[in-house]
Parts: sequence; C-alpha cells; structure tokens
Amino acid sequence: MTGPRMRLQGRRAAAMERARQRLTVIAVLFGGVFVLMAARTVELGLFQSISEPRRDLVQTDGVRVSRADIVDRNGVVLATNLQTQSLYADPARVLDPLDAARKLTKVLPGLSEAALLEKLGGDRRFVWVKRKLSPRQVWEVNALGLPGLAFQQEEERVYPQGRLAAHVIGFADPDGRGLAGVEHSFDLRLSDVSRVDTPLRLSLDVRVQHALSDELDRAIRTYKAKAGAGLIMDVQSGELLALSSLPDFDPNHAGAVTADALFNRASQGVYELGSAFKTFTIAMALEAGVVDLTSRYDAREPLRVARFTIRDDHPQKRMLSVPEIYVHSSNIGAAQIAQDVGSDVQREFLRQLGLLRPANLELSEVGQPLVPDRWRDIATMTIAYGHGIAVSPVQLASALATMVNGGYLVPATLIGHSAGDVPKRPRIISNETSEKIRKLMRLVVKKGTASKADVPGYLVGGKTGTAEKARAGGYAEKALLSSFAGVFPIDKPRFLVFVLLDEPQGTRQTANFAGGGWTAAPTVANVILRTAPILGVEPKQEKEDLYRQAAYHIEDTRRHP
Amino acid sequence: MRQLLIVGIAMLVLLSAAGLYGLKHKVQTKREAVLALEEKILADAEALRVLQAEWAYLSSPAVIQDRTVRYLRLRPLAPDQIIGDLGGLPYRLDPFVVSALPNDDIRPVPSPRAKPSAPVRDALALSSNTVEEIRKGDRLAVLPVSKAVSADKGTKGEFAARMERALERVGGR
Repeated sequence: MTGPRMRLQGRRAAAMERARQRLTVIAVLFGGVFVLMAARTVELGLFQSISEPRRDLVQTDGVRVSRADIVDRNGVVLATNLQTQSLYADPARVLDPLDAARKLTKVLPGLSEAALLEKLGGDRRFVWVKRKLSPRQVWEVNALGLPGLAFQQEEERVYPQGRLAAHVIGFADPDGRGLAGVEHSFDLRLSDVSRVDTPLRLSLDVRVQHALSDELDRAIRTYKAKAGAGLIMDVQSGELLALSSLPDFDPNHAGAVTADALFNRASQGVYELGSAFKTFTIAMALEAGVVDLTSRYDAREPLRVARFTIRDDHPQKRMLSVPEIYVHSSNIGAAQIAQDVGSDVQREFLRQLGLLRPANLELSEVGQPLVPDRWRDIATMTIAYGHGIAVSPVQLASALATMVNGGYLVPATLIGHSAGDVPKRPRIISNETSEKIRKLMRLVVKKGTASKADVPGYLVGGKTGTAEKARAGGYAEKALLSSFAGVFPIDKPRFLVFVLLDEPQGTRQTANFAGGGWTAAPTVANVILRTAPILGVEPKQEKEDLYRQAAYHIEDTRRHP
Repeated sequence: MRQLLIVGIAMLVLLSAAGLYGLKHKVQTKREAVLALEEKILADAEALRVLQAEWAYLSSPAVIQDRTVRYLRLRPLAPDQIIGDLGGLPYRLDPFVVSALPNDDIRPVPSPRAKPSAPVRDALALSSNTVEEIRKGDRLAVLPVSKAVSADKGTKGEFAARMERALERVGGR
C-alpha cells in the first residue's frame, strides 16, 4: 500500500464502517448457507445409499387394451385385442398425389388407385388410407418415404381360432363394439376398463368344438344337407362344451357375412324336432303314474282324429308296450299316452322343462318357441310325438339332460358356474323315472331306430327324431329334419351330444333312407368316438342285466338294418 | 489473506457447481434409461400378446388336424385301444423263464388274445378327403402283424406253436 491514504472524516468513516460490517454479516450469512448446501449436495451424492427404488416414479402397468379377452374353459384364447397401425394422410401435405397413390396401391393390396387418388387430391386434412396394417406393410409404407402420411395406433380384434365357435363368440366392429354372439351380449363386461385384464371364460372346449364341427360338416357334405346344428352339453351342470351351426363364418372377416351364415341354428332356429318329444311324453306319464313299463297300447291301425290321421313311420301293426312305443318310435302309441295324461299335465310338464319359452342362454340370438295358443286335443296328441310345437336344439338339450341326470332342471349355459356358485335346481321328475328313461334310451340304441349310434365301450343311449318339415299347405314329402340326441355313458350320464341335419338325403350306404337313425345317429357316434377321450370318459363293459327289466317288454321282431 | 479467501470461495463455488451439475446429469441419464426400459417392457408385453394369439392359432384344432393328416401316420383312436383299467393288464412273462427257452429267435411278443376287431363302423360315404382315407384304414396300427402269427386265419402259425411248446416245457402260462 503506497501513496497517501485518504483519511475519511469522522461521520462518513463511521457510516462506511457500519456498511462494511453489514456487508460482512450478509456475506457470512450467504457463505454459510452456501456451504450448507454444498455440504448437503456432497452428502447426497456420495453418502446416500438407495435401499428401495421408489415405485411412484416408475410406471409399468403393462399393455393397456380396451377390450377383455375371451377364452375357453381351458384358457385357450378365442378373441383378443392386438395393437396395429392404421395409415392416414394429410392431403395438404402430400406433394404428388398421383405418385403417392400409385406407390401405395403397389404396397397395400386391396386399395383402388382411383379412389385413393381422389382422397389424396381433395382438400380435407385427414383421410384414412388403410386401417389395421400388418407390421410388414408398415415397414414398406415407411420405406416409400412419402410425405403427408402418418400412422395411428389402433387395436384390432383378432380371433385366432378362425371359424371355430364363430356363432358363440360372435364378432366386433372395427371400433370394438360387439355385434353378435358373446361379443354382443357381454359387450359391457368386455369393454369395462376395470375388468379388462380378466378374460371372459366360456364353458366351451375348443377341441370338442372342433370335433363336433368337423363331423357335422362331413355329415352335411355326405348327405347333401342344407344346413346342420349340433351341441354337446354336460348333463350334470348344463354347461355347453360345444355349440355348432353350419354354415358358419369367419369372425376375422365378418364384413361380408350373409344372414344365412350368421343365423345360429342351434339356439335361434326353432324346429319341430319330432320323436325326441316321446321322451317327455313317456316321462310325464310314468311320473304321473298313468302308465308303467308294462302298459300296452293298440298300434295296429292309424289313429283318426277329426280330419287328421296319425301314422307310424315304422308301423309295427300290433299291440305295443310302452318300451316298444319308445324304441320303435310309434306316433300312435305316443298320442294315446298323451291322451291318457291330459292336455293340462302335458302343458305344465313342458313348461317346467322350459320348452315353452326361449332358452335362458347367454346369447341374444335365442329363438322364441312356436307353441299352439289353444292346446286342443289334437295338439296334445301331435305334441306327444313332437309335431305341432317348435323348439330350439338348446331347449331340447336342456330338457333331455333333465330327463337323464336324475330329474333336476339344468338350463343350458355358456359361461359355466364357478365351483361354489351352484344355482338352485328344481326337481322335475323323480330319480326312478329318470332311471327308466335312461334304460329306454339305451334300448333305442341297442334294439331300436338308433342302432347306428352305438359306440362299443361308451354305452350310448338316446332318441332319434325324424320330422317332416312343414311347408305351405301341409307337410313336404321328402324334406326332413333328422336329429339324434345321444347320452353317454348311459348308466351314469355325463354328456349329451345332439346333431340336427336339415334336409339330408339318403345315400347308397343308408339304403336311401335319410331319417335320424341313418344320418344323425352315425354322426353322433363319430363325435362320441372322437371326443370321449378328451372329455375323460373311459370305455367300459356293459352290464347286461341293467336293461333286462325293460328289454323283456320288447319283442325282438326288428329286422336287422 | 483476503485474496486467498476470495480464491478459496471461488474455488468452492466452482467445485460445488460442477458437482451439482454432474449429479443432475447422472439423474437425468438414469431417468432416460428408466423410460427406455419402460418402453421396452411395453413393447415386449405387446409382443407377448401377439405371440399368444399366434400360439392360439398354431395350436388350434383345425391347424393341428390339417398337419397331422399331412405329415403323420396317426389314425383316430378306437375305444378298444384305450386301457381304462390298469388292473386288467396281464402280467409280463418271467425273464428267467424266457432266458431258459431253447431257441434264440423265440422272443415273447405279446400276441393278441382276440381277433383284431373290425374298425368301428363308419356308415358314412367317404369322399376323397385325406382324413376320411385314413379313417378307412385299420385302426390297429400298433404292431406290424408278422406273417407267422396269423390269428385271423384260425390256424396257429408256426411261431405261435413253437412258443406254446416252449412255455409248456418251462411250465408257465
């Protein structure tokens, strides 16, 4: 420090001194805080150990789809949502519409160049080019390097099983709304955001469904039928393991599906199913005590009631016992049994079985049964053998399952009940009546019209139905609705297989017969053969004495087919 | 002294600034890494769903049936090929008995006890579909039936006769 120092006067020197002190204080304060923060930073950076990552900082919920999956009873995926890219364009940004249209139609199949050119040349700001592209197509469009195009991520509903169970699953429109089947009837549940992660579990089994569809398709081709329907039901719980209606459609390409293919013949179609109703006639007669297995009826001549004549398809022209009426499918006998039981009892019995109102199935495609509004005597007699009333196959299956499972009502269901949630099941017929019906069903297959349904080892029982289709002004001669309902194994029934063929024609192998025992019964036999191992039914020996009691009342006058 | 203090404070400021920015940079890098991982997880989860859908398609019964018919010689199962009751199986032949047999080329081949049953009745007219062709064939494709064991002819083949004699000698059956 050289040179003269300025010595400040007294008062200003004091002010300066005060200012200097204040600055020092502030500086020390700032310095202190700064040192504190520096020390804290060092501490955080060097000495802090991270024990657990903070969960709220990381968001990995997984994929968020907008619609729940549909799976079968074993977890096989039936419908799922996958992410796809959809291509759109901003025509204002497209530099050369002609070039762009040409290149795009080369890369994306199914686009018309003229329509695309019009879209790209217009003055809208947003046009779809093509929705739901595959990853390869996305790559190729990107490789074109055209301006004005962009992708939007969309979800596509994919049905990996193709045509299988198409009527049950249904399909959804491109915006994810269900239009048919389970997709439609459970639309709210499937698009419920809080339940999107839980798949909807159906009672179907795809392996069994395929076996049924395959055999039904083969039968339709073999007998040149117009259409067919089939179902497999668990008789103890009412769960539908398979539901098939042909012709069917591919839900992946449901745009151009015809109304005929969409029609669910198993649940929505109502038909006069014919002789299967004799099961109910005899069951109600046995239950009411009006007949027993030894009662006999006169079937020597056709019955004449008012202006109608009731004939047998396989006329035996003799007195028939009740088992024989069932086994030989005698309309005359059945009509007389129903007369003895009475209209009121018959109507109440069928009502309890659920045959007079639509099936309580979880689909919206459920048909309303056709029932006579005035249940006159003639109606009672024709309904006894299945004409004059039209029900859907699902209703018939539920009612037949009730007959054989010990007598309690099992409504058909596609969802299946969880283990603890067993609904109340009213008892319709007694255990003894159910046992008698089972024996009669076994005899139909062993000695009666359904001998072609027998599969050795699986104790198949059932009832054929051959109904002439009603045409305008009476019944058509050759147009038949052939059906067979098979239950196996008949001593402890577990499953019911029902097959219906619409207008089958006889072949050389069937000696030109096209009835239920010739066309539907062998189809059911093939289905049972294929599905019994999957369903866990073991082949076993039959105990002959189980049927002796009923068989004694059947004269063995049948001619071997 | 004051200059030293100033220099010291300046150094402190610079060092702590450097440290702070370094830390911030590290945190930012980590955060970007986390985001990248999240995206990858999302992409993998979506890929999983696509693969599950593809698996459902490839293992669908229609596809498997088509491939079975084309590449395998398997035929539909018949009820008599299913053994439900394991207790009903016959016992094996005693190996000591077998090794005492005189002839080397007699080996215990389980011969069918009953005539091979006819294929389960298939009443449908069969078209030229491959599946139906296979159904037409016989169902007992388990063992190739040698010419010597001609059970369906009713007469005992030479092999079976030798076998019976050998067993009589040894006392088993």
